[in-house]
Amino acid sequence: MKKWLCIGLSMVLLAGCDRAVKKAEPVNVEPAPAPRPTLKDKTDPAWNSYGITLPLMALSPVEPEVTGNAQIPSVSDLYASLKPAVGNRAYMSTNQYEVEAPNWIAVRPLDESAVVAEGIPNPNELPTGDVRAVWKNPVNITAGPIACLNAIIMADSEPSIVVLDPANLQLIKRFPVKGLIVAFTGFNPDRAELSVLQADSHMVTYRFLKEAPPVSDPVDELIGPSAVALENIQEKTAKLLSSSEPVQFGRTNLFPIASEIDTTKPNLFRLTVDADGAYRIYLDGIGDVPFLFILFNEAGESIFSNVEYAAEKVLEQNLEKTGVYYLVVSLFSGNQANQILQGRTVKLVVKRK
Amino acid sequence: MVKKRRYGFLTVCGLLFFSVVGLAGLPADSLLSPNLAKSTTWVSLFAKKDQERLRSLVSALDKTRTVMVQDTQTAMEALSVYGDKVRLLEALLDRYRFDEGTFIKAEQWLELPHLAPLEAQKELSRLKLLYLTSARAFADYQFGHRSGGELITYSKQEEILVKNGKTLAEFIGPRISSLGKSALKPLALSLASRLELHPDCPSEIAELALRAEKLPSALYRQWIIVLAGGSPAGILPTAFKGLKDTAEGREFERAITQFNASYIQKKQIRELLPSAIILGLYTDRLAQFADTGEPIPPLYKEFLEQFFSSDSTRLGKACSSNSLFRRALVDFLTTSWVYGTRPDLWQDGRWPFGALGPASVRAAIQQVLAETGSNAVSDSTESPLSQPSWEAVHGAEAFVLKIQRPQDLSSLLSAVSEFLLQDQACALFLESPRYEKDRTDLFQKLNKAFYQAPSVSALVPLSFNQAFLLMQWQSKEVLTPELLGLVLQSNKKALTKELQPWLGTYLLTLGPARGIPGGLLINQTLYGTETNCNLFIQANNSSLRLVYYTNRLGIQE
Repeated sequence: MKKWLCIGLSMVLLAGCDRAVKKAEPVNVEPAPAPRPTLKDKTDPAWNSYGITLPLMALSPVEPEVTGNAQIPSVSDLYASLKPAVGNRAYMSTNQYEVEAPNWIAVRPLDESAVVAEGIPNPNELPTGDVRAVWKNPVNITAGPIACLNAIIMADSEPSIVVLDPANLQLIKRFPVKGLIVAFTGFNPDRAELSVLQADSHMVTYRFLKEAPPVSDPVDELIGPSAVALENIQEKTAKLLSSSEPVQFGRTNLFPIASEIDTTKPNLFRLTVDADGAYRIYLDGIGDVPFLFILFNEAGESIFSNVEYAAEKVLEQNLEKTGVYYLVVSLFSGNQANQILQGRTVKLVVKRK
Repeated sequence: MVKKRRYGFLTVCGLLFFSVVGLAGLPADSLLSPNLAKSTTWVSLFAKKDQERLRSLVSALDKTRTVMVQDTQTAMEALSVYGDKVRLLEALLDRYRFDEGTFIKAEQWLELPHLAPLEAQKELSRLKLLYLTSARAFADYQFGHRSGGELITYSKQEEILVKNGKTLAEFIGPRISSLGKSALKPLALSLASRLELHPDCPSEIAELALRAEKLPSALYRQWIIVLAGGSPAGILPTAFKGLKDTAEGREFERAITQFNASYIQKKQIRELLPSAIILGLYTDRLAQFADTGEPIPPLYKEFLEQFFSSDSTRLGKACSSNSLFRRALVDFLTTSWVYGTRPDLWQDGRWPFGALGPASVRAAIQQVLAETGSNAVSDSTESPLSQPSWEAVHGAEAFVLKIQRPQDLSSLLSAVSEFLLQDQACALFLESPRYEKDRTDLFQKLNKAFYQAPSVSALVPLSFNQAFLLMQWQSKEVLTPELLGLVLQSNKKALTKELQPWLGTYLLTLGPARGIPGGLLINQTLYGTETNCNLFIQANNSSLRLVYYTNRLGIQE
């Protein structure tokens, strides 16, 4: 764990502001040339606020960055300083954000009018004005807040990490998380990373992201085709269907487990065979309805199609046992084929010649 | 054909299961057996004139012990019934108490007596009191049976047993002083087998009997006299003279010490039953739920200290005799953890552990997790998605096609039940985004079928019931009362209580989302492998209710 985390933890006890925050040098966003020192536009990690704009498209657990020989605080130490979230505060600019009840947070203006001392006033010691905005949650707030220029971050017992608009405390986003969070143990503004302690004693670091990471499905990846091959397959299919729109396939069917054709849209099959040899590939139940067959190799290179030279009903092809093939099966649009085929089951057949 | 294959598969599984259980339950080298516990052929060792007297003394001991075994069994069954009733009523009230119409409908569906929510709340309080009273009597050995209007307690039976045992020991003692080990062996094994049946006897008796065979004759004769005492309480190093004189004797002494520690722990752990119920009452008070307003009995300080300083392997072993104890263990550990880690609960007199502070409770449970190596349970259970095999993919694909076809409910349930046995394929189906729509469709179909059934008992055959539990997989919620009712019903009849991987996934989703370490829910050392229905039932119990209320504690509208 990073050194800032440890310092942050000791801050919990010193500042009594939040359970655990990082202590770092104050960030002066826009030094105001005011005649009197003011908190306006100022943020400070010691007040649980950071002068950064947080990316908010997605949230993803990450491995925390480990630098130096900083000691990892033990989980039991962290629990020892736990307390309910009520009373937790963040100060940003001339605002005080405080969890005022187990399920709500309010923002109040800080009153600097009576400040006479030199230097930036301590927001902890300033009187506050009337509530400007409140956010009520159906369940308890369990950690936070941390304030950034565009976000107030908290955890709740949904369990989720919630992000509110600092200006009006409107809910911007709710990121569901796997574990119930009972404390924020660190925030790294450079990496937009938030470290948390879960009630089940796990420590997790989340990163706020500019864009959602692609959803990968190992099953789909195994069945294929690869992204590049799919692009080739889509292109070739669109061309042979004379479609100006890009062709979208549903999930790749695994032949022969799946052999039924959806006559309403282009179908993509993954083909493998048990033995090398010549195979007849055709559709059972299609009758006289014209259709398109395109056979591709694993890389998405077209091997053969039934329409490029003459519309054939049966595709004859040598297939290898070690090969992986993708086969596109599609009806042509606009010839009422669907009506003709209504209620009929059309099946792909691949037979040894 | 498919059915045939399935039953064939189940038969093979069954045979494997029984052979494994058989081997695990009865160590191959155990010298003891229930048959030997009935035997009296060894009386021929003694003079003719003594044989009748011996038979009658042994028969008196046997009779008392049999009553003790029966009374224990009856008491545990009664506790189990109370526990199930309480859990079901709690779940019903929890879910539907503010909607009387739905509440009554659910009661009917679950085939429970018709009670309005308010009446049900009173009934729950009554049941809880009975449950606690019975558990307390069980822990204190004050349960038993009635004879002529008088309660003959287990404690009383034990006294009779010890008295009769003493008479037998005194009778045998002088009569075996000249007999050698080989002649005495049938007597020793028969008496040890009898002792093994005593409800409080730890399983270590088998090992002790094995070690005793290596003792010199003088000590072996003492062993027989101690065994004749009839109670595991009498098996103490101090009952022997000259144990330290030989290496075998010293080894035997160590084994006896170990045996006695297990015996004491086995007796002490009974306090876990009332303690878990009492902790549940604290949760009720917190949640203003079925609270009678009566003062809650305190948790025993001595028990808490002993429990939280116990070696977790021993704890698991002490609870392994009955699922009642295992459930109480899950309940007590998880609820204690919630109390220890949610500071909202440390205020306003909500702390139920008296002088034992949150830090001590946390430290003790973290120690349990560390000792059982289950702290990282959720990390170590690698998702089957990370490296799917073709075999599993084929299984999942075939299943998806099967459930897409329109079909009647029993065919669908049959397909699902069969598929649940294919762990890897089932895990892929449940976890891969590829099958998201199929999953939603399936859960909807199951949900519809489930709630359209006229009553819970209409949902048997049993083998299909797990198919309904699948609905729970994607939920981070506790079981609905209806599903809980189904699980309770299935659990009574279920042969295998192994945890299926998807049940594990559900619990590992539910636990951390509610702040409960996965290692406290799935933990072979603590709960053995008998975790399937038990944990499902327990997942509905006080710890999760406690979290539910903690998460709403002090909420302002």
